[in-house]
Amino acid sequence: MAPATDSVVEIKNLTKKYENKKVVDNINLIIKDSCFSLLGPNGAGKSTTFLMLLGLVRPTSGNAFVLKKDIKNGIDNVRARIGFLPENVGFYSKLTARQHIELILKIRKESHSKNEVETLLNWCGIKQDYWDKNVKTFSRGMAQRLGLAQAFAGNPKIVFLDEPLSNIDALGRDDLINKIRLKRQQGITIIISSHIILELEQLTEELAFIDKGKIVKYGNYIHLTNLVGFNEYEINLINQKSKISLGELKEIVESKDNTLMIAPKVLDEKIIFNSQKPEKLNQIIEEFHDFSLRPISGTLTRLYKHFLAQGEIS
Amino acid sequence: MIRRKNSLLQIDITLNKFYFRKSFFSIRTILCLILLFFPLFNLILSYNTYINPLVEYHQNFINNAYFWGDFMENNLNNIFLPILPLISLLITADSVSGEFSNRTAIVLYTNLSRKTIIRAKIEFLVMSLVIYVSLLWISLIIATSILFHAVISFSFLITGYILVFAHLLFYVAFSFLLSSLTQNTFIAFLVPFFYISFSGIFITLDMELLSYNYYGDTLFSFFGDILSPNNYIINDFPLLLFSFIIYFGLPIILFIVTYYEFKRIDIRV
Repeated sequence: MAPATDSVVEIKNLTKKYENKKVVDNINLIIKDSCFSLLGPNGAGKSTTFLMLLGLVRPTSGNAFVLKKDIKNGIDNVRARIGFLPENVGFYSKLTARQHIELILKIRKESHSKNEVETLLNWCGIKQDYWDKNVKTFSRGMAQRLGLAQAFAGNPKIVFLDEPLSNIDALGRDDLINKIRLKRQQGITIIISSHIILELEQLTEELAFIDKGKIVKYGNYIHLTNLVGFNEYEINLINQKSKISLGELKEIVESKDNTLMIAPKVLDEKIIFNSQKPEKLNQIIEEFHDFSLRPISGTLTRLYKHFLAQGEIS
Repeated sequence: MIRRKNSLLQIDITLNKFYFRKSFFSIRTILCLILLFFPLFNLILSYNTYINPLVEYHQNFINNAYFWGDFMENNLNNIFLPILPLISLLITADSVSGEFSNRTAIVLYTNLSRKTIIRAKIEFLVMSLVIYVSLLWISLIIATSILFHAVISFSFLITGYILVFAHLLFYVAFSFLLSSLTQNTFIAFLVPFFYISFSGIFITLDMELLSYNYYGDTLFSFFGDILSPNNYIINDFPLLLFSFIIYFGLPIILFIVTYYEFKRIDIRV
């Protein structure tokens, strides 16, 4: 049972039972290099799936491969390339934020610089005044940010984030989403589990809905929205230094195929339009690294509710 | 291959530095130090009442009566006031379970394999025990030289050190097994503590083979006779051999069981 060649994570018939109750029920998934969201209500089996993929919880049956390594026997070989933010992250109360990051970097890498520690602390948004304070003085939101920093410490290839936004206020969520997006742009595969849907749509490329331990639907975000008939999309300018403007991009796209965007409206930082062929359009947009195509804001929530209305998510 | 070994060693050093830094100047360490010197103070106080600095004490008295007969006897076989085993339990009981109750386990266990973590923790506990027992022995040597203007013979000191170290290592290994596999600090502390307390009951009920102290007592008597100038005849060789195996082997077996069984438990915090 070898893993698929282009998968980062491959799950095959994975099941976990606790006292005869199936918490994860025979799930199958292939996760490619992307930002993957595992979405579902509380108690759906998201965290247990993560813990099994990290080799912390042993599956009752089935198997999975992370970075081509069997989670039952080979996961230790790739552990240094995996980052993880647990749902309820805990830290050694007597250590400072800086000491925590130093510890994780020392474990993951043979050497690191002071600058690397400070870059991470700066990146996660902890104020400099707190870098050398004991973690026991941190609010839950700050501890969550430190958790995020330790997850990305040492340039992992893949990072699992379990409910990363749960202790963060609304403004902080947008900030963290942007920070995670920057990491994604650096080529890190990000796997997020969350029951907070709204903010994740800015990140999600692939997704799976899970409920009662079973995968209800999974696939490419754009493909799934198109599949259920949510056809409103937007192209966002994600790099202000782009040599091409949104208007110019629209003309380029239309010159290739004028049926890809229906009734496009060019705004300050985005183009809004309808499309019946979003996947074909996405192939064109991916060539321009300064832009991204996504369903319009609110679509992921609508998609979640769509499956909910069908009774596919309880 | 060599790089991997170096890397593993580096990780062990990093973790052990971290564990030592965490425990340094903690309330627990201070409590352990108080407990550590309690038997020594007790010994000094009991001798200080009648000791005569003008008298030159015979080496046999220092070795057999003062060290082996009082110090070792009181600390190795005292089931009513098990001071030194308490140190073992204090340094060990929350070594793994504490990581779970503080939700810190997952941060380390996701970055390193469980084998590495358990190995580093065993190394840390054994090193801590070496430090504590060595501190006690150094203090004992200093106190003896001040009290009696004499030193305990090396053969007595080293034999006593090994017996006390193995004794304390057993309680470390026992508590560590429970701390790792039950993830519960209270169980890891109380079960070995009650086991020490029940040692007397085992002997009363003719179930002395269930008592670890019984094997320690057998070896204590054996070495006491070997080290003293009297001729010693082994009466029960199978028991002596069994005592050697259990006394020195059981801590190692418990560590090995913990090392391999810990891989199988689910880590959820």
